[in-house]
Parts: sequence; structure tokens; C-alpha cells
Amino acid sequence: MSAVVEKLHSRIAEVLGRRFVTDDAERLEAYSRDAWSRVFLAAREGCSTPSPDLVAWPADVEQVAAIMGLARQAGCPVVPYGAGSGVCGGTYLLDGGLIIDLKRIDHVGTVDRQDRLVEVGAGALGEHFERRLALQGFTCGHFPSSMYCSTVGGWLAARSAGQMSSRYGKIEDMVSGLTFVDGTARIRRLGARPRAGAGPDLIQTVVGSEGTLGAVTDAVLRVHRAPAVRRMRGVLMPSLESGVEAVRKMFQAGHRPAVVRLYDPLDTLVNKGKGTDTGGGVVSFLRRGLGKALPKSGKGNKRRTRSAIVDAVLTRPRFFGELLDRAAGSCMLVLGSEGQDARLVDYEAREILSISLRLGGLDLGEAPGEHWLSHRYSVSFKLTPALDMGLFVDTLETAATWGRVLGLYHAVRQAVREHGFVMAHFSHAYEEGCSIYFTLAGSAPDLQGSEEAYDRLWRAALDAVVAGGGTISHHHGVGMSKQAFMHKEHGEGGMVLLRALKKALDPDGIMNPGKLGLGGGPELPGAPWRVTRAGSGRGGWKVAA
Amino acid sequence: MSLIQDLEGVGLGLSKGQDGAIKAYPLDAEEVQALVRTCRRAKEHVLLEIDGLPPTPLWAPQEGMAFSSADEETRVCVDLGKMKAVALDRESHLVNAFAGISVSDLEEYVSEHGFTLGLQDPPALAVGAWLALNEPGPGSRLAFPGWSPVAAVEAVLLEGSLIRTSRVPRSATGPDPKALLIGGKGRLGVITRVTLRMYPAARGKRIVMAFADAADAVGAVIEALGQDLVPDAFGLLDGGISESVLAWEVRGDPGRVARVSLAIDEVAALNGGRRLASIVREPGAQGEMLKEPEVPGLGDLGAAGPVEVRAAAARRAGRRPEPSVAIGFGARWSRIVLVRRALINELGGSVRLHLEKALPEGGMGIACVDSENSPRARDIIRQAGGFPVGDEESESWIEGVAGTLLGEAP
Amino acid sequence: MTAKQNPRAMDEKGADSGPTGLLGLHDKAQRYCNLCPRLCHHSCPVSNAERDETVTPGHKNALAGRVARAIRPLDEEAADIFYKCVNCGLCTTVCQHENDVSESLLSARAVAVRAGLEAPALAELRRSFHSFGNAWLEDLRPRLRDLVPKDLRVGDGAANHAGLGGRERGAGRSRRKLRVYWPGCAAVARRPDLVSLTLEVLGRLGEGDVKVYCGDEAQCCGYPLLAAGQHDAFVDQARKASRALSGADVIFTASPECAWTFAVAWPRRAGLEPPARHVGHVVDLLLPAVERAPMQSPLDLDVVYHDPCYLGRFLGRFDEPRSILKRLLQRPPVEAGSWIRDEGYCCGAGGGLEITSPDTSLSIARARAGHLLGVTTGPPGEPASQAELARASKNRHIATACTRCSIQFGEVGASAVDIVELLARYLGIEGAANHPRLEDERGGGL
Ligand SMILES: Cc1cc2nc3c(=O)[nH]c(=O)nc-3n(C[C@H](O)[C@H](O)[C@H](O)COP(=O)(O)OP(=O)(O)OC[C@H]3O[C@@H](n4cnc5c(N)ncnc54)[C@H](O)[C@@H]3O)c2cc1C
Ligand code: SF4
Ligand code: SF4
Repeated sequence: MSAVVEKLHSRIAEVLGRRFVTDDAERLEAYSRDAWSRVFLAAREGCSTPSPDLVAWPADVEQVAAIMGLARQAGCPVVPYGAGSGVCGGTYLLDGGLIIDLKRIDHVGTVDRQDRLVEVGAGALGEHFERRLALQGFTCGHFPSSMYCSTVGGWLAARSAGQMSSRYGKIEDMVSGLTFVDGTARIRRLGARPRAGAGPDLIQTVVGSEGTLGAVTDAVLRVHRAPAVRRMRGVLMPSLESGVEAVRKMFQAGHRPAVVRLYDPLDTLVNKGKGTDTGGGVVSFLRRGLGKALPKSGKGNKRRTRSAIVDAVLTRPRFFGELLDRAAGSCMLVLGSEGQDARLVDYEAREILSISLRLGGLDLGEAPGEHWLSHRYSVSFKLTPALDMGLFVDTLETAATWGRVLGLYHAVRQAVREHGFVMAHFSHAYEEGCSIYFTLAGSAPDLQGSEEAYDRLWRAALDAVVAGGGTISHHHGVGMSKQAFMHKEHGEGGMVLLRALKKALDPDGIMNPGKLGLGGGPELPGAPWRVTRAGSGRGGWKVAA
Repeated sequence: MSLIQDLEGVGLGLSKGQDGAIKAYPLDAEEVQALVRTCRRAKEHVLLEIDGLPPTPLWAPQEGMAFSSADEETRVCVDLGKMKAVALDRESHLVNAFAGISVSDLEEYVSEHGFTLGLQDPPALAVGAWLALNEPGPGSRLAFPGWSPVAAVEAVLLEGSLIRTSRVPRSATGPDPKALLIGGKGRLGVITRVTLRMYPAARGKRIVMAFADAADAVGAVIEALGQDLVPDAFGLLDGGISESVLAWEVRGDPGRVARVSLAIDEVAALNGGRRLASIVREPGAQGEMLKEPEVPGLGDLGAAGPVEVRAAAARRAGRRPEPSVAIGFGARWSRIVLVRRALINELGGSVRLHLEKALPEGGMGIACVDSENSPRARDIIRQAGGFPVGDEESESWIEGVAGTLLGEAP
Repeated sequence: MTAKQNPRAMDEKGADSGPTGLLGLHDKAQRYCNLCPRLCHHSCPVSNAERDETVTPGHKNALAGRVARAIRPLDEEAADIFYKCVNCGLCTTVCQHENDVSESLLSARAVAVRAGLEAPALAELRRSFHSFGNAWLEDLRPRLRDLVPKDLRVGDGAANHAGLGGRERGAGRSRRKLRVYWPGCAAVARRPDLVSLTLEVLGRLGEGDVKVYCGDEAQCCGYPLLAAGQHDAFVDQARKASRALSGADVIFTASPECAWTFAVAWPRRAGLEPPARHVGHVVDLLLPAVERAPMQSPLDLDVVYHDPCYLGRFLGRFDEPRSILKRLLQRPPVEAGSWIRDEGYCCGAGGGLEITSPDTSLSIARARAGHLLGVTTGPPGEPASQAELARASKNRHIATACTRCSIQFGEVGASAVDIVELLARYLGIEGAANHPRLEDERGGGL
């Protein structure tokens, strides 16, 4: 351990107390991962990932500012940390540094019933926050699939979207105020005023910054009375086109259903209309679909089953893609309306159903909607078994205006098909467009091969996204994994402006270096960076100034 | 070579004003870019003036200092009057317009095609400048919590590069660059083109209600918003000792409009409201929320804003109206009544509020006070939890970014 | 038993096959946790209290996996983390793979202790068992005998290696079933009043034939040793208790973790049959009895029910205690928001955490009690202060059915009553009303 780290350690300990800062190897190890799929590939092989030098747990904004001041003096990189559920490698310190875990700042205030606002600490875990609101009769309306393992600060940092964003908005639509400490250790409080028509909306210049400008410590979020009425529904649409058209019509008519999820034919088939989604489902679907061709899954045959599936999908992805395309046709559309006033909710539910039926939909009743609702977090659990089988699985979420949505969908599938398996659903709708959520899977025989194949697949997919007029991320963020595509997203001018913002708030570049394309870090996907390399900094930090 | 010659050299339409300022008439973003780059390369200190925004310096701040004014400045006024083209994306309900067209003209244009921008009161200001100022800001369309009229912005940064923000409905790709340009008062760049959201023009219904007390009216607003009953346009006029008036407009799908209006009626009644009028609004109809003769029975209150109300009241009492000042402010709902009460307690009964923008958590409006009380009124508003317009934090923030931006080599 | 049980017994063979053999039994769970975005993060009382990723179920279990696969050495740091678990099982409820992190960590502790990495705080526990046969640093047998009337004692002659059967069993079919109440060492040591009250209540409800084991052979089911990773001592203790109790037909325990240890941990970890054909908790006995009994006037109390982890999640008794309370109050007890039933939140007293990490254990208790008493909207979140809890306790009582839970809540100044106490009061049993725990603000007792 270098003297610089040691000195910083003891100075932070003076501020927080010994208990709240550590350099214990295992605790550093626990903070050396987020939920980036590529890193799970290494973890599967037992490889360790670059870890920080120190982890600290401040209890309030003043302590955050104090230790960030110390880090700045030491020239030490800093990463704010929520719960590590980010899926873009946003929390890595490739050359060591300090992780600030914000979970001690997790207060949830009393809801202001008149303004319907609540103050919440950035470190509050989503599920805790929502349960504590529920006790007061309110909801935030933000339900990401990572509800159990992500924080309010992480949501704000990555512009998260919940499953009911169509009604309640993304997190950036919900935030009315926030407190954050910038890269100069200055505490800034934004947005005490209602924001309409009063100069720039500074909150939107911090939201989404993924820790590259500073650490968010507190937020004021809009909340809603817990819905008194909810109506769920499932409709089978005859084609993807009719499904997309139905959703567009609903939103452009001014309806705001909380749940709108349209599954593409393959996703519909994989989940057999159950209204759940993703990776593990792929495996069981393939197992069903490939039927007798696969050895029976039993104790001894497990490995063989696994490799047969893997072979099938991965050696001939294009063949399977086309096969599945032909087998599939109709699309499941899950709808849900909710609110306070039964008259309004019922009206909306009726109207959106009739829009779907007019476009050829088949009403499946409440069951598929209710099933989706009660299994809405199940999707998150499906990733693990697929990874454990030796696959790599990831998700890509993009969005586009209505005029481009279908073209984008086909382009991405076409691009990915060479490299692996892909299915999609459409959720998070707006008046001018909607998002598409792709599930991608593939495999290779060993770690290096998997990492390379994973990178190839992502590069192909993101190229297609950019060419198709989509965004490289609708709600997962950019982190390290997509930073090479930032300039394609924002253009040269956009990057100039973002860098100017970064430089104004973090002049020494200590905040989360190597992320968002704002300087440093590997140009992923594709750079020959291996997560197996251990951190090398250990006090010899040099950050992009 | 002088700056004007350099500018001529890049092919810009120019003229020289009587006050010595150079006037430029670019045709598109590339010409604006050429202009900015040329000015940045010039030896003199150039002060850029765009469409009525405050002048903005194009030189980098000196070490450790904010932008100090230079001894000799060359003023370059950019007139975007030649940039007015408009294109519609009907499928995605977006309209793309050059920055020189006025918001009211743009509204007229889209309404000819069966759409509306959904703004309460589209101003005659050029759309670029309107966004750069973000004052008085977007209307009060609350149907969606994070609603903003802007889908995308194109601008030439003062450092010289061109930025075009993505038109996707939402993204998670870092801070939103739009947020630095909208309301940035042109301090970071010249907005050259915008993409705004638009909505099918539809019939609407405006309900006007009278309340014995402004606090009751605010109470009704709070309750309605709490039940997710959201207006497309909104206005609240403080009647002082006479009745206060609340106007609430819902547009769109007729079934929804009918149901929302009914529910709002119920909420208002529970809060002591009395229906003054229920008016069918034709597609595309604009106009102030509270005005005779559209709202019959409004009486003196309908004359217009609070200034006029006070004048009318004074005249009736046989007094000469005092000179009044309108102070723009924003406050959360729970504070609005407190702000009003504090103003009345401290300054006497002559104070009136007029709220014209609503967000889920609060409103924006103006407080009308006697002119000599204006500085004190700002303090009172602040102490009671409101925010007078004009905000140092935002300005220093934008200045900071401008500093680093202009510090970059052109 | 309706608990989520791992049907695979971890017999001694497993335990003996090398230092990491036990760990190998949890291979799938460990692999999954290693590849999971810590989806049960919100559920773990320990990581919620410490706010440290290191002690999330996912990381703890992945760490056990790395030790098992020899990716990392088994050292003090790792061992320390294996003890950061109250063995509450909540993560398993959340985990859709039903990964039993609690079991995996119990194995990991056993492996650590075998490797000489016993947590220093636990050495005393081991010594206490060695000298006294329980965790409480004193011989509890005389105490128990004082509490139990002679006619209700069984097994209290000289050490009876043949178990209880020889003496108590009648001949042939006509014999009555031998039903035994097992108070558990925590009750005898810390809540002797509960033992007496239970016996009185049982008598009053016509269940006076239930006996209490008062023999010399065993005072403890072995749970503290299991939680401490003292695998060998646990097996030893289980064998002793098994011999002592053999011959009982039905056993009802006061502490649900005793019932779980008998019914699940013995077969799984000590290769022993449960000590009786039916092992249950005392609520199993009380519910039908109180339903049979004539109605009394309801208790006028504000009572919130706390699901003990072992009674609820592990033994599946969610409704029995609630039904008893409903009978006593003539309305359902207050429920603790959404942290109830299979998502009941731990009081912090399990898994030996009160010994290995006392601060964390108490902080969990303060968070949970604060929520139950309506002081906070947690858990988790800021734990309530002792003063807040004491104040709130004047108006509301936490009812529970686990000795350890009520002791733990008492430690942080919250009013916690065992269902048996409420029953005693309901039945008008003398002494119950004067119990300090049930005195209300006006000082007038219940
Ligand atoms: C199974 C699964 C499902 C998911 N589903 C969704 C979903 O439905 N919708 C969705 O939007 N996302 C989803 N995600 C992605 C992820 O949960 C979100 O990105 C979430 O917002 C990250 O929160 P976190 O607290 O875990 O942040 P972390 O992973 O800890 O951090 C993410 C980034 O934000 C920064 N950061 C964290 N906290 C702060 C702070 N207080 N101040 C400044 N910067 C900070 C970090 O430095 C890092 O760059 C999912 C992830 C998983 C693993
Ligand atoms: S059993 Fe309980 S304490 Fe242990 S890891 Fe799981 S949730 Fe945490
Ligand atoms: S127990 Fe289940 S949910 Fe928890 S970390 Fe392990 S695999 Fe994930």
C-alpha cells in the first residue's frame, strides 16, 4: 500500500471514524463489480476485477464534501456508488481510487401531502424507498426491474426508467430537486423552485451524469397517492406492426396507461404469453423448441444439454433466427391503467383496449396482465442461470421516434443475428416514440473468446442503433461499456458542451474517470481491455485533468 | 483585415448599423457557425447579440476572473429573420423549425395542419430566443410529469462547433445538453433550429370557478392535482377581498375531457368553488385564460391581470390607482398561500397574485405590489418560501460552463 | 414442517471430506450468487444495517464459493464475513432460485472453525457449553426444576440414557401420547416467567398433561453451536439431546429455532432423526386449545405482530399466532406494513450475530422495533432511538412467539410480549397483569 493511499485513508478516518473507511481486501473486492454482463463472464471463471484502494461510507452531504475535498487534494479518483446494479461498468476504478458508498444516506422523509414531494437520501434502496412511501399511502411510480438492488442516487445518475414510466415518467421526470457535491467538493442544492419558466433546468445537467460530475446525496422526488384502481389486460396483436401502431395511437390520443409492453413475436413465443421476459426464458424455450434433438436433461446429461443448446444457438445463430422468425407471428401486448378515479381509469382502459381491438387484436382478458404484474421482477432472475450455463446474455435498450422504431428494430436484429440470439419488447412509450428493449445472447468456448464475441455483438448492435436513428441508451446509461459511442450519440458539438460542463464542475477530472466518453478509460466495446487485469493504481493515480 | 471583411469573406449577408454594430443575416446553422468561428478568430473582443437576448462576450475569461469587459468591443448582432423554414413529422407529432420563426407563427402553421403546440399563450418571440430565455416558459400542460415542449435543439456553440441533440423521446446518455441551452440566455450558443412536440388540435373545455378566498382556490388545485386531474392550461387570479377566480382547461379526447371536467367540478365544489362558466373551446383556440367576454360574469376581475383589477377597484372607491409592479415568482403549492399571506400581512391588502403556470408541485406567477414596496416584496416572498425570478445559482453555473467552453481553442 | 428444506442431508461424510467439503454442498447456490446482481440486496437485515456490499447475501455466498473453489484462501477476513448473517432466510424467500445462503454460511462457518478460525467472541460460547451444557454460563437445570411442578417433570431422575420411553410409556395401545414442552435454554435463563406462565396457561386450557423435560442430559437443542460453526460440538449436543428426548411422541418448543433445529438441522447436519414424530411450536398446541375454550372479554390493547423468522419462514406458522391474537383481541393484530409473513423482518437476534456483531444486531432490532411501534417507516433506514422506542411502547406492544425475539426487543427498550403472556392475561391468570412488560402508561397494568 502506497503512502499516499495510507495518508488519505487516515485523513478520511478522521472525518468519518475508522469504521466507515476501509482498505480490507475482501471489502474492496465486494466493490470491484457492478452488474455489467461482461464482468460476469470473468467472474464466472473466478477472475477478479480491478478494485478500488479505499471504500468510504459518509453519513451526510457534509461528510461527502469533506472526503471529496481530501480526495481532490490527494489527486485521487472518486466513484460514487449506489448498489452496483448498473449494467455498463460505471463503477470501475481501473487505476484504483476511492469509492464513496452512499447507502448510509438513506433517509426517506415525510411526504408533503400538498406538494406531493418527498425528500430521500441518494443511498436509499429502491424497494426500501417504495415500501416506506407505501406506509404513507404514496408511491413514486418508479419500478425498475432492479428495484431490489438499486438506489435512488443510482437511478438519478443513470437516468433510470421504471416499468410504469409511461404514466409516471422516467426518474428525470420525477425529480424536483437535488443536492450534490461537485468535483471541487462544493455542495450544490438545485431546484427548490418549481422549474417551469425560470431559466435553465440545472437538474437535467446533473441527472444522467453517472458520477462524472459529482455525487448526488439527496433528492426531492414527486410522488403520487397510491393508485386506488388498477386494470390489467392482455391483448394478442396480429403482428408487430399493428402492435406498434396501437401503442402510438394510444399515446397520441392522450392516454397514459402505466403499463404498455409489446413483445415481439419471438419474445411472445419464448414466454408463451406469460408476460415475462429474458435470458433464462431463452434457454428453456430453446430446450422446448429443440425438443428431441437434445439429450434429456438429467444429472449426467446436464453438461451435454448445455453444450447442445449453446452449439445450436451460437454456431448457427442466423439459421435459428430465421427459423424462429418463420415460426412466430403474433405479439403479446400487456396493458395496465391505474389512478385515483375509477371513472377515468375505466375509461382509459376501455379506450386503449378498443384501439388495440380495432387494429386486429384478440382480447385475452385480465389474466396475462395480472400475471405480468405479479411476476414483474422475475425477469431479473433469469440472467443468472443463463450465465451459469456458459452463455453471455445482455440487454440493449434504445428509443426512437415512431417513424423510426420499426426500422430500428429490424436493423438491430439483422446486425445481431450474425453473432447471437436476439429478441425484443417495446415498452416506455411516449407521444413521439417509444423504447425497444433487446435481449441478446451468445457464447464462446472460453473467457477470451466470450469477451471478444460479446464485444463484436455489441459493436454490431450499437452501429445499427446509431445508423437507425436510435439512442445508444434509453435508461441503462453509458458507463464504460458504451463510451466509445458517445460521440456518435451527441456529435462533436455535443461532446464539446458536455466536456465543458465536466470541466466546469470537476476541473481536476477526479470524478469517475474513464466513463461517458469524457476522458480516459478503454474504448469499449472492442478495446483489448480485460477485466482480469487487477488494478494497478494504488496511489499512483493520474487522472485526466 | 477587419472583422467585417472577414465575415464578408465567409459569404454572410451583412449590414452595418448606425451604432457601429455589425448586423449579420445568416441563412442556416453553417453560416452561423462560420460567423461565430470568424468572430472567435478575430483580434478584437466580439460581443454577440442575438434576437433580443442579453449580449454575450465571445472571448475567454482571464485567469481567475469572470468575464471582464474589454476596453474595446465589437458588437455583432445576429438576425435570424431569414431562418424560418418549418417541417412537420406527423407520424411522431414533431415539428422542426428554424429558430427565426416566432412561436405564434409556428403555432399558426401547425394549426393549419390540424395540430397545436399545446402552449397556453404562444408569444410573438422568435422560437430560438424564446427557448434561450425560457421565460415565461412552457405552458402548463401537465398530462405528463416531465413534459417539456422541446424534443431537440440545434445550436452553434460559442466555441464554434455545431450541436444537434438527438430527437429520441428519452435517453440515458449523460447530462442533457439541451438543458444548458434552454434558458441559457444564449450564453453558450446560438440556437439555430428546434424540434417541438405537437398535439392533434382538439376541442377542449374550460371551466371557470369562483372562490371566496384565494387559499380555497389553491386548495382546489392541490386536491385536483393530487387526484391526477391535470389541466392543459391553467390560470388563477387573486381577487383580494372579492372572489378569486380559477380557470382550468382540458383538451383532447372528448370522453376524457368530459370525465376530467366532471371530476374537477366535484373537487372544486368540495373546496367551496362556484362554477362561473363552462366554455367549449374550439380546436386551436388560444388566448388568455381569464378574460371577458369569453368568461361571462367575470366582472372587474376579468379586466385582465391583477394590476388592472387593482386599478378598477381603486377607481370604484374614488381613489387614483397606485403605480404597481409585477414580481415574477415561483413557489410550491403549499407555499403559495403563505407567500400571499406574508405579503398581505407586511404590505397591506393591496397585494394580488396571478398564477399562470402549474407544475405538479407548484406554480409560477406574478405578485403585484405597489412599486415602492418592490424590493421588500422580493425578500418577503423569499422568506415565505417562494422564489422571485432571477437566480444566481443558474447564472453562475452557466457562466462556469461558458468559461470552460470559451477557454477551448476555437 | 413446511419450511423450505434442503432435502439433501449434510451428513458427516460431507463434513469430513476435507476442509471445504461442506461448502461443496452449496455449489449451485454459490455459483448463482457469484453471477447475480445481488437481487436480494434489500432483504438482508445485516447489509441493511451495515450498508456494506461485502455483507449482502450475494457477496457473502459468492465469497464462500470462492473459498470452496480455492480461488481465495480461507482466512480470518473471510471467516469474519461468514458470521455476518442472522440466518433469517429472508434472502431465500426473495431469491427465485431459492438459494439458501443461510445454510451455505452455516457450512462456511463450520469449515472456518475447523480451520482454526473461530471468531474470538465465540470461544466463550464453546466454553460455556463445555462446562454447563448451554450458552448461558450457568447450569440451568436446577432453575428449570424450580419452575416446573414435580408432576409435570419427565426425565429428571438420574441420567436416563434410555430416554423418556421406559418410564412414561404405558403398555399397549391404551397408553397416552407423551407430549413434551421444551422451553429452550434462552427462556430458562432469561425469561423463566414465561416457562411458568406457559405451564399455567396450558393447565387452564385443559392441556395439563404436557410434560417438561427436566433431565440432566440436555438443556439445549444445539442451535447456538450450529450458528457458531461448532459443527462437532453441535453434533455432540444433538446426540445428547436426542438420547434424552427419545420416547417423546410430540414436542412443542417455546423458541421456534429449537423446533427447527430438532426437525431440520438434526437430520441435515447431525444425521439424527427428529426427537419425536411430531415436532412443533407451542402455538400449535395453544391455538386449538384457545379456540375450544370459552370466550372471555377481549384484551383492550394495541398489539402489532412480529413474525419470528424461524416460526414463520422456516416452520410456516404464519396464521396460527395471528389466529390466537385475533381470538384474544377480537380483532386482527396490527400488521407491520409489507415486512410480514414470509417477508417478516428479523429482530437481529439470530445466527449468533448478537455475539459476533452486537452493534449490528442491536441496530437491526432498533430498526425493526421502530417500524413495529410506528416510530419509523423502516426497516431498514435509521434505527429508532431507545427513548423513542420506550415512548412508543407505552401505546403499543409488539407481540411475538419467540423467546429470543422478545428478549432482543427488550434489549433496545421496546415493549415486546410473548403470545403466552397475552393468553395468560386473557385467561385472567394471576401474575400476568403485573408483569412489567404489560403495564401501560397509567401504570395500571393491562
Ligand atoms: C437485473 C437488473 C435489472 C435492471 N432493470 C432496470 C430497469 O428496469 N430500469 C433501469 O433504468 N435500469 C435497470 N437496471 C440498471 C440499473 O439498476 C440502474 O442503472 C440503476 O439506476 C443503478 O443504480 P445503482 O444504485 O445500483 O447504481 P450503481 O450501479 O452503484 O452506479 C451506477 C452509476 O451511477 C453512479 N452513481 C451511483 N450513485 C450515485 C450518486 N449518488 N451520485 C452520483 N453518481 C452515482 C455510479 O458512479 C455509476 O456510474 C437493471 C439492472 C439489473 C442488474
Ligand atoms: S439469511 Fe438473512 S441475514 Fe443471512 S444473508 Fe440471508 S437475509 Fe442476510
Ligand atoms: S441468493 Fe439469489 S437473489 Fe440473492 S444474490 Fe444469490 S442468487 Fe442473487
